[in-house]
Amino acid sequence: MTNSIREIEDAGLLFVIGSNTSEAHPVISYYMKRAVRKCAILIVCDPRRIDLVRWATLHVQHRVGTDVALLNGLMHEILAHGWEDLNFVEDHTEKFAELKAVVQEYPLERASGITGVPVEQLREVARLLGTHKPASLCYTLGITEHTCGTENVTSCANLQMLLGNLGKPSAGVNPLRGQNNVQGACDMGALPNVFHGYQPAADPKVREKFAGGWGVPDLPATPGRRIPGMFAGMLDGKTRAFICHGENVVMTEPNVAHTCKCLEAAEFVVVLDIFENETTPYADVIFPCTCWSEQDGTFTNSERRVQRVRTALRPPGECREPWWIYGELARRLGVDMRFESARGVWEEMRSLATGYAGISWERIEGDGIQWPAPTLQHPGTPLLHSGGNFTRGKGLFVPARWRPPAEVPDDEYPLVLTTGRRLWHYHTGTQTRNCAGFEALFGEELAEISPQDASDLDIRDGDYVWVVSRRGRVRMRAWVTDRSPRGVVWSCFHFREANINIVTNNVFDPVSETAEYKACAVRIERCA
Amino acid sequence: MDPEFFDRLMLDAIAEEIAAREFYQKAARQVKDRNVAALFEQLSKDENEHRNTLETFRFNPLARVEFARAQDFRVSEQEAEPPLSLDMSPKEALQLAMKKEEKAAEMYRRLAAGCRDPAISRLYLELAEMERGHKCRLEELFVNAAYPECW
Repeated sequence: MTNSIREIEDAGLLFVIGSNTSEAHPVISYYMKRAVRKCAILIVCDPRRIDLVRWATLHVQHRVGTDVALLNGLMHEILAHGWEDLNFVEDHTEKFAELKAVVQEYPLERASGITGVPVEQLREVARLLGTHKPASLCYTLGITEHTCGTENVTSCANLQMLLGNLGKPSAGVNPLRGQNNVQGACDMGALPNVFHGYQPAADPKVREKFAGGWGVPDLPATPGRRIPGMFAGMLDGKTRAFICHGENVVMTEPNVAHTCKCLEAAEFVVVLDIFENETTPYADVIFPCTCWSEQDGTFTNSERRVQRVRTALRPPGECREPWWIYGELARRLGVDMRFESARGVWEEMRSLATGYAGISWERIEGDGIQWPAPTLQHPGTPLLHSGGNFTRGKGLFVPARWRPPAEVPDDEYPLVLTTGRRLWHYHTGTQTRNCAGFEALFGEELAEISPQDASDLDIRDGDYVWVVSRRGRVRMRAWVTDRSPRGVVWSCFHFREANINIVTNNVFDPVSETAEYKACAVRIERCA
Repeated sequence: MDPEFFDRLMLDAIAEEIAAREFYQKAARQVKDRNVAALFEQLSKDENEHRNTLETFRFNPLARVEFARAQDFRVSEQEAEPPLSLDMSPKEALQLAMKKEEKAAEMYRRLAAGCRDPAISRLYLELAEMERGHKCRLEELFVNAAYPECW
């Protein structure tokens, strides 16, 4: 996030797109609701009538996979009325003419045709955006989990730069991260081309620094692979060993049949997890890991706040903390990477990344600190790009043209499937499905379909149906609900008995290589 | 303080600002990146502002030379000074600029320490505070630019 969670409640306008905030980020949704109580305008853009819509000033129900057209149409109208922040654009951005040229291709009528949003509503949203400051834009995986995810993100940034909503309190471009510590995982270099602190492995000076810090002669300059490449490599022998840590990939990856085929072909698989799950049968070695309440360390949340995690329970059996497991693995591979504690890992980490140098263990005993905090005197950075200052000097407009998802409905598969998360469960259920309370609250996956589609297909609420795509079929009960618009089916991947990723499409954004979980073509069949 | 000495001291300080302005103007012409050039141009304008501030004091010897105390997070002190080069990034340009301000502040502090006259010492310390203020402003820009979440 460019801004902080608490700032949300002081926004004049909240533009929430591709984020089922009250189910996926209930704490953050609380700040959104507080903002509404303080008379903020809340615009929710989502194909589904999600829970947050109850608090919204406007619900923009655009078609799945049309975010770029929606955002371009809004920018077209903003420019037509001169609602852009010209001072900000002139002083702090580049390539405005290029943005304008592309946005001109999206008059409201065309945007409406693509998105299905009425012209009048688009006009009203643009007016509200153009006349209410500061405006905070929040998005989640509804923006990124598309083959055009990168264009979706740059379009969000384009809108906020156009309106001058960056570098100011209660404004910004704010991705609400998918898990409690996904920000921390990325920050710590769980990416194929950077060391921690986003220091590029391709830079010889950076490699030299890390090699020196870690006491090794050299480090590889070639980037590793992202998940699609790792799995493809299992089939062609380029991935010879695969360590899977805290990610139940059989459940999480799109097109489960493909994932299983890859894992079956894999030469050597190691799994680190807290329970046996759908992926562990493919493992040659399983390391039982401590869970969050059994370990010491840090989590970094969406607003870049590094927070302490403390051991509350003794780990059961042979469970070990992950840093200990990796240290022992490294030692057996010839690198002395032994640490005495999680704190030792942290101290080494911050000695090699100046953005964290000021985040000492003592300083995060309380509420944590938001990086960057380069010195012990530095208070941390709740607001990034203050005053409109960007890494590259000026903010770059990167215009995007709309293109449809990789797979669109046709006669054989006439419905769009989009997937997400439920309030009661977390990810593949490795944690929450081992908890009887959550099972009692929500114990079975459902396919949410609109009353119109249910009527057309003669399906009643609670009937068992097959959700069928070109990749496979999954059986679950139907939930006939107006949360889904006509033509849209929604489900999630929390339940092994009915994992929607059996049918999702394993196609990826070419830049981020994030899968298109949010759009594929399906049909619904009644179970006999 | 002897008015003539005050005038000479202020002229020296102004000369430092002029030298800094010229350095940034030259740097702006040398670097390849348009954003870095624009940054150096802005820094040269800032140095001109600093010069104007000092001239105001020079021509109003009765005014009390006093600068606001900036909160110093000592970011510059942790960083190395990059050489001026054609391929500088905005981050390196800011790093260079804040190091220059840090050095200027240090120079005035040393001059203050070497003075017997408390009035002159105080004036040097104020000039050090002025440079420290510039350093802190640049540090804030640096922190916003130097740690991108870019992969």
